[in-house]
Amino acid sequence: MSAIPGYDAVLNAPVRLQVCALLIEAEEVEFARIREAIGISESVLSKHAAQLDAAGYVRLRKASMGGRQRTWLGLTTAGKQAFRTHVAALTRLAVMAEAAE
Amino acid sequence: MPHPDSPDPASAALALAATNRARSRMAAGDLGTSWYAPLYGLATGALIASYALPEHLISIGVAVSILGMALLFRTWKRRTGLSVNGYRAGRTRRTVVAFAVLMLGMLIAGVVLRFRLGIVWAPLPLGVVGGVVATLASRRFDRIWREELAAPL
Repeated sequence: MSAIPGYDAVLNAPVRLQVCALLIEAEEVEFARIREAIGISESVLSKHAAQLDAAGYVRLRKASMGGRQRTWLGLTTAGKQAFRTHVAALTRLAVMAEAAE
Repeated sequence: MPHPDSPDPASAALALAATNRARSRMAAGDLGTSWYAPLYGLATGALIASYALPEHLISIGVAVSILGMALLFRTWKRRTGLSVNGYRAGRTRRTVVAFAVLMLGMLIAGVVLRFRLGIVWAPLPLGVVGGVVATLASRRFDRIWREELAAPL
């Protein structure tokens, strides 16, 4: 029994994959902007962001801006690499799904 | 046999589709281009035009322009919730490099015309042109960035 090459268990969760897909195009994205784009609650995003942080894929940074504490997320080098290989694996699978139709 | 946790082909296609939708939503969101681009053009133009000021005021003009740019970047980041590296890989890099070369050329031309050839007012029209170019370059950067974000993975 073997995993699909490039498949990453951490990124198998759709929310975590979506978070990384947004972060890959920016240096950092603010928590609220990610939440809006994905359409999830704060608590759900917090949970997944913590898991990505624990995996070393995302760095979290808290900063006070305009008198409010805001959390910024950025992809680490390991996160970028994992995301790219995972998406490549998913794309290969998706092509198989298309071919089967 | 696939790993038990691995997605099947149909799930993979759905995951990619959901991810592309999230990226499209972020691409469609506010980038502040309508106010950021002209203000960026104004700050860039002011930087070049500063060299038309009396000599003792040039450093103040340059400092105010750079400070204005720094403030503008900070405001844009706070209002959009985004931080994008201008030199990021992708199609935007070509625009940024071309813009940087053009601006540097205009800045050097302004300095040479003023201090070598004695045309004191020369940096002023160069600043106006530079400001317009910077505004257009900023808009172009945003458009390309949106396109790249909205493109399917």
